[in-house]
Amino acid sequence: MSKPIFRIRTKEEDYLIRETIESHFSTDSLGAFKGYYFWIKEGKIKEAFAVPHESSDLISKTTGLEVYFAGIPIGSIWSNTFQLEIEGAKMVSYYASKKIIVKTDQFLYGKPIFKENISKSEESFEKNDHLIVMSKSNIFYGIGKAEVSSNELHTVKQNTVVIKGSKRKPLDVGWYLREGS
Amino acid sequence: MPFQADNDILEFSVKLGYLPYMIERYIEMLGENGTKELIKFNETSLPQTIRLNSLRNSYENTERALTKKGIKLKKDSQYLESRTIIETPHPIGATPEYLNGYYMLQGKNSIYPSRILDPQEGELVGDFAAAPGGKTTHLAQIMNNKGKIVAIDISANRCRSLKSNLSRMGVENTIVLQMDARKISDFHLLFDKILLDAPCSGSGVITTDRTRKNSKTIEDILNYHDYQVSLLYTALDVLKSNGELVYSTCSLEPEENELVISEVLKNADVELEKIEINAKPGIIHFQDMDLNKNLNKTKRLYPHETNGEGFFIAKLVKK
Repeated sequence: MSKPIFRIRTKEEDYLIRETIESHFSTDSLGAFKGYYFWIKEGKIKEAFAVPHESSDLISKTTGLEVYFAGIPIGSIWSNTFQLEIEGAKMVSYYASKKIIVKTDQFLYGKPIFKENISKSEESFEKNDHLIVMSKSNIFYGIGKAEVSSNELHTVKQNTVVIKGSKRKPLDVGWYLREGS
Repeated sequence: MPFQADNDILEFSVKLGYLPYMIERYIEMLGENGTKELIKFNETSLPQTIRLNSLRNSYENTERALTKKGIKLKKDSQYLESRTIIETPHPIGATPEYLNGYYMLQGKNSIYPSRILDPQEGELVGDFAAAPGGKTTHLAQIMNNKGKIVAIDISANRCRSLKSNLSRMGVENTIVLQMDARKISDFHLLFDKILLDAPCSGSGVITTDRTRKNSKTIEDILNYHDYQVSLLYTALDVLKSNGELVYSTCSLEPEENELVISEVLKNADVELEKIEINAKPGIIHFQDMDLNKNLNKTKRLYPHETNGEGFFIAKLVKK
């Protein structure tokens, strides 16, 4: 199997990453990536990294450097879709307004969030929207997908699943404990 | 097994599992009493210590959050970021604060090498045996994520844990290379500063790995020596003039420490800079060898004297 290649993103990949983040969160959330270039580690899957300009310049100018990775891993690309992952979501979380505050830390164990566990949501949201999940003390837990809209939230039962993690790859910081090292 | 001071130390140490050569050299370096203290200490557990990470949160906020969870912390280092865990109702490596990189589980003494190197924002810094990343993330913290760190490790598995730790701790100024650090000179980079926390036999951390009492022969130590010397020569080769290099190991063996530095002092245009921390100086006499007297500018952190991991640290400046 050939070694993965670490290379600067193509224009199409740059568009895909930005367009996905913008559509899932907001135009403002792209502000998280000011000062970085996107790089791609192309192996079995394509991993995307946000690399500060200074590091990016060094990699570009150094002939023959085989980079394992640089900067911050923000997500992955497959079948022409981009999925934001933990650290990318964390960067976006400072800019995104679609946040939900929860009472328990069960999301960190890959479990869904029920209505009874929700403390508050900061903005209205639709079913299938991506939401940043935070604790009451403002600690980032991860990113989840809404199973109901914010309007429905008021009418559903306490044991209704409101937010689920990603099926493809868990997007909660508990991942670091389960598989991180 | 309780320690009995009356026993013959060599016989007793062998009963505890040590290879005799280790005890003989510890007696030479520490005397009989010091050796007894070391061996006694190695049967205990080190206190849990953490390094607060200012890249993720202020020290005050993290300390407040942990205190609120019932975790009792104590400052007992000259550095603001270090804390000892006095009491915790939670596994300290599984809190949401840990998972968000507010702190790193890091031995009390392993905080010294990065602080002694003292990298500055904007510098190009090399970390030539980087995984799993405790010191790399500390370098990035000291640099406020500015400038660049080239972090190298030869092992793919270890690079994966390096990636996990760098990501969790919010480090962004690092370029990771999975390669033999001895090939870094192929790329014509010149570093302002380099940390070489060299792969070593680990005799300073027997408290956490008791198999080390008998897992390494003197031949193994000499093999480490050769590897460490070759890594150090490469590192000096890619260091700028007036650039600074910190060499460290968690071994107590002179072959991996003073004898490595002694060799490059003879053959490379470098000098030792005195390290100002509260620890014993490096040794200048070992077995039948008189070593360079400047080696007393290096430091030896013995576990029983520092209540932490054993370390050797040297700081070299390239002329």
